[in-house]
Amino acid sequence: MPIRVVDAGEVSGLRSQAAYHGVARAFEPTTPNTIVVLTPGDAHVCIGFHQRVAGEVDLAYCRREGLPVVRREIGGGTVLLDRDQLFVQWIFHPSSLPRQIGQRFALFTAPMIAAFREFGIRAEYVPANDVQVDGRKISGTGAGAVCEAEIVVGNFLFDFDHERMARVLDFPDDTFRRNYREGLYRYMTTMRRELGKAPGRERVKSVYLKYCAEALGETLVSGEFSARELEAMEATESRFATREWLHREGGLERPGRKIHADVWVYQGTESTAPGNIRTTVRLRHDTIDAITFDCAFPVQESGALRRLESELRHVRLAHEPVAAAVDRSKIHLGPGGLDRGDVIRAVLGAGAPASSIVHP
Amino acid sequence: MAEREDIHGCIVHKELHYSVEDHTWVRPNDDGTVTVGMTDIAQGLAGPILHARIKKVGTVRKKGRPIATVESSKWVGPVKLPVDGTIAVVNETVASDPQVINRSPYTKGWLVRIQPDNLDEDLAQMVTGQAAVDAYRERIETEGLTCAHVADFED
Repeated sequence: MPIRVVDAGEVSGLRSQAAYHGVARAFEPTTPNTIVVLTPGDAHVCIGFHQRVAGEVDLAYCRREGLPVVRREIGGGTVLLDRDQLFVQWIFHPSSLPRQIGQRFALFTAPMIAAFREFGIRAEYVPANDVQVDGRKISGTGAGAVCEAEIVVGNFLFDFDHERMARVLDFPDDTFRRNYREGLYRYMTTMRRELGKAPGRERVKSVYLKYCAEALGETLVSGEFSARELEAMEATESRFATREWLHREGGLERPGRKIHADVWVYQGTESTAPGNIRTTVRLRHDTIDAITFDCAFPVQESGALRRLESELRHVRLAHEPVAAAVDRSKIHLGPGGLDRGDVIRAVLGAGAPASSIVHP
Repeated sequence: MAEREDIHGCIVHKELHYSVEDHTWVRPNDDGTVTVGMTDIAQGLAGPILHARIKKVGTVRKKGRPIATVESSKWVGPVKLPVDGTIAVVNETVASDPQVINRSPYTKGWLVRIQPDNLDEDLAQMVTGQAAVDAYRERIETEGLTCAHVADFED
């Protein structure tokens, strides 16, 4: 059966989420596999199915900015969508997609990657579900099952508001936010950033769909949503707009903030004799990409902490290399001051949750 | 020790009853309830499970309706109940340690105990013993499935 393509154009932020849910909720054995392409007409924040909105999103900021916050029914973390993106959604019969999720993402991202490359961007698939350009994420993807349909979604980033993304999330303090923001700039990219100028939206759509037909080995036929699907979308919008849905019990707790699959920000507090040290660390794989110490006590030597932070950059998060970096920094450690072991524990403790992150 | 069959790395316990389509299993208990969980194949397809939300005790469900949603680092989806009935007990361990499903899908990682409504009828539509092994072998070979196991897999 040919694959139906629905180009929904520019729709509201809420509809951009409700679209794939509605197609899935109305899915029947006779429903064709469907690809939806659309543009979220207004910016919105979208949280994962099992996330707890309080503590995850700065709701007061979103309210002030008029940014709607929506909970989707598929997993993952918080995303910011707006009209600088092309949102692509596959709603397929389970039997039409590889059962192994890794293979499914590889299939889903293949036409995206081919399209990026046609535009001159050296995108590549990074398991499990990232598309990256030289270590910078250029597309996020997610997957899930809703009713009888399997869903895979992703986006083409023409441009991205890094500042706004760093404001949308709720962080424990400004140091964490600053570290996250820097990480976003460093490890998230867009078509505009890669090419200097983003290609036209219609061109991206047509190139992408050409490669979808190739990857799936099927004919694509332009179509419309059915009345039943539109009804299901409206019902989804009504449910998604309720306070109960947004504030429903969460449960998915991650120990840090993810920038992409390999880059996370963590924070920990170490209790020491002179007082607490709060350590914020950004890890890339198992290596310190950035680190900041905030001490609740005066440090004897001016600039010592900054020197220590500098020495720790690009050091593997393990006892020996961290200890060696602390020694190299020549930070003054003496009676009544910080103990060498305190500093090492502060660094290793802040990054410790990284070992609990599940990497596929 | 349950009799188990290894099919291309995927484990099937022969004494359980399976809904092969939904990758769930059922174990009848002496008190008339049945224990329900995800198969080894299901946990392997999902990948490392980060969170599982199970419906509350007392929830009445028809066969095919979800009793839980599980989220891995790559996918979120429902676990469908293979029998009609009411949730009698929820495995609380799963809430605090969802990867128990990956480590021990048939033993410690069970999801719920159900007070079934029509057990004989429902079991008749499931497969067990050698029939289950044969059904899974066909499915695994047809679909090219593999079961990734965590290091401390114990089932």
